[in-house]
Amino acid sequence: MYTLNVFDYLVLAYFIVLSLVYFVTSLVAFGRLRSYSYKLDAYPDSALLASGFMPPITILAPAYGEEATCVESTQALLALEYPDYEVLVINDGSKDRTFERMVEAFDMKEAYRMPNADIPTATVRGVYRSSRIPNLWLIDKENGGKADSLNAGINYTNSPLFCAVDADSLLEKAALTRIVRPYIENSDTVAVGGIIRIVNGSHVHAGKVTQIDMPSNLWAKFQVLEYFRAFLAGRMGWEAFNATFIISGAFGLFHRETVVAAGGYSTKRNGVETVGEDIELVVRLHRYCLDHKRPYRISYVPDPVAWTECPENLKVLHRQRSRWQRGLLEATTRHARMLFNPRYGRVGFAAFPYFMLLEGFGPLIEFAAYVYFFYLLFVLPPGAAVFITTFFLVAFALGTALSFLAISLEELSFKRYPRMKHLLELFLLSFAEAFGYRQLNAWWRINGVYTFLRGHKDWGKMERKGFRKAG
Amino acid sequence: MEYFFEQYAGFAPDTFEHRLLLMLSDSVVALLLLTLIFALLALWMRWQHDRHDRRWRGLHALWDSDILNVLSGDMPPAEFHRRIAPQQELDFIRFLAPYGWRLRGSDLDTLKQLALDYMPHVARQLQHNEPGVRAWAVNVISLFGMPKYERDIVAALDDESAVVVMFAASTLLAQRRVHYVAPVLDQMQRFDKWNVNSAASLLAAMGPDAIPVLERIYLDPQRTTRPRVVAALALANFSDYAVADAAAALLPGCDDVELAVATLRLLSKVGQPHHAPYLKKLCESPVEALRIHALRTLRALCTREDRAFLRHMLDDPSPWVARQAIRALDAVGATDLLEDIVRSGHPRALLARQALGEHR
Repeated sequence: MYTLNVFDYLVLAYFIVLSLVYFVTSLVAFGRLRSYSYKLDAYPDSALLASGFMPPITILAPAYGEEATCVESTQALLALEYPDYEVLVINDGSKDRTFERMVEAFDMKEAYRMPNADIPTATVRGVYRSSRIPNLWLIDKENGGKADSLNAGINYTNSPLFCAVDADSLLEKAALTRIVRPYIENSDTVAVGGIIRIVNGSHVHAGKVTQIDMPSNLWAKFQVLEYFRAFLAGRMGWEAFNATFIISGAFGLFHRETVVAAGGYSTKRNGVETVGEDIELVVRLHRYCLDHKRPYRISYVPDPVAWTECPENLKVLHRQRSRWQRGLLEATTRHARMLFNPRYGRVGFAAFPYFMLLEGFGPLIEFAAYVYFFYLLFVLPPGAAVFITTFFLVAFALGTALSFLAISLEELSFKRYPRMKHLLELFLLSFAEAFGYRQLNAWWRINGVYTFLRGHKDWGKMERKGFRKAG
Repeated sequence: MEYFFEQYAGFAPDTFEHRLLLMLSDSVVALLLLTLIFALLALWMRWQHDRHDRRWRGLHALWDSDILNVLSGDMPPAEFHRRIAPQQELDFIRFLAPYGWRLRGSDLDTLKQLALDYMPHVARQLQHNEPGVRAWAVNVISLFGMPKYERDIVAALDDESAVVVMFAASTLLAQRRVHYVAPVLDQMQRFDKWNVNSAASLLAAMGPDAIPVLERIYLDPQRTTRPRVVAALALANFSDYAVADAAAALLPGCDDVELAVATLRLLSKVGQPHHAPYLKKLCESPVEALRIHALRTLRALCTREDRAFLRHMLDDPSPWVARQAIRALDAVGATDLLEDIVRSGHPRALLARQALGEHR
């Protein structure tokens, strides 16, 4: 007869807590999305823009080795619909012709711009301004990494809000108007994230997604579903408790003064370099505001404000997931004193333990369970096999239920995948991902834990296929 | 299932393992049922969305040509009213609003005429629990219901939702009535992320009648910073010379950097040479931003007699202050002094060379 041991209980407890969190955040997200859609109908962007009170925003776009795309990306940023914004492209010591391409394309001339903060960064070699487009600036600096470039940009930001973007993300025209809403609604807002969608398979024309379609690559399809779960269910749910932990580096809006007071992005110049600088900053903002007993809100808009290309081959996907895991662990361990610390309230008692222990180190339990249970199937009596099979059936059914719930959330809010075929495909993917993809993901994340423990610092190369051009 | 577990799993009934296994198997069934419910929910929501879209398309098909006929004068508004069913009243306003945002002049007046009968329904929405609905109502009243519903909009300035207040403020400023300036500006303190420059431009659009009110707000020490800052910037837009002396006199006792900077921006437009001593005093401030703004303002007021002072400011530790000093020297035509600085190898020689280079 088979009796449960400590490890079985550990796996069971991990599984129950994780499932409960997923369900609670997903259900809470339902309410948030409903209310958001309601607001969007009630006062459209045009009404906000017409009000005349929209705060000025500075977009910070770090560029390293972007010779081929920097001009097109900058043009896309300049075409956003917002009344008062500047674009600061930060050339992070590119070894190619990024700087020259920017200077030639936009007729950049050396200009004076006074820094407003002094976060330590690599040396700034010069500040340039377009003589044709007055709200376009270029900061040329020595190489220091993405976080260092963002810090240089923050130093030169004059507006109360800045928006950090990835050079390779496509922003929706209304992205700024949408993401600024939480600041208008609540003065205590210090950071806002937006939903990132996968652009693979969709048609792109002149920096704009013109027709949305599912990717043809299977791995990219799985990621569409994953993004639904992560953004619509996970992040929207945590947002309701003011416990947002992750604002993607691809698109986030921040209150400059608070970020400067908290020390800016973490780099080797002002702390410790991390691959998860976006997560680390959000954790630090929580910590800073709670330490200083300052009322604050870190918010999320469920709008698909930015589009990004996801990896389509296992090697790159492995690298990306491993890096994300490492970033999460670096950020959380750096602020480990927040864990179960009453001073940090619900962040310290709910969000932090969830992200550090369950999301950060959880893959160790998950993968060990796969290996251990697989081993048991062969060496133990049938009782163990029945138990393990039942347990896996629960895990499968739970994963599928959560994916279906995330798809419902998408239908409730934006219905960006318009055809019935897309919906049915997403249903099928929810069943299919339990056979192989989920296990691979656990393995990649284990790898991230391993590289974190080994103290690796490299980013790994992201290969991009390029956007599908509209016909 | 119980029989199956007893037979194959080998767990004795009433043991913890047996009960756990039963619970797990029940969970599988429950979760699969939930999956089915969520799938049906997703399909139902898609159907709802599609139905809503179809309904809107239908209403558009019904009303689009009518509205064009009304706008072109081919159909009297009363005739259009007859075609709107009682339960479609708010839908009609929702349909009309996008036209309202795009049209101006007599076309907008025609739309107002069309909407007027339905405005009481909209005004009732100002009491709705949902801030989004209240914001929508303010917007629609702003389009079609002013000045008749002006009082409702003034009351909306005290709404707890920032968005409602923002729309109400914008609506009232657009009326260009001076008596709204003070209540609107007093709200600025509540919402510190509103764009002060845009607010100042909106105020400036009211015309010179607003100047006395703005002066009163700007010079009122009992008021909070934000309204005073916006008033100062609006007065700068008006180039209100009458306020210049009072503005300069405000500087020595001002320990609020934001207000001091706004005052300096005002003085850069309206300052007179006799205000220079106030500005020179501020050039000794420990706050770098104040020194920069003071020198920038001084640039328009100083004369060749101030060369020594400007030369002294070149030794300021801030390169940005030094840069303003160089530009001021350049503005008073002290080319010889700038050339001396270049030749002497002064730490700010590069800035001086740059200023000289800009002339060539």
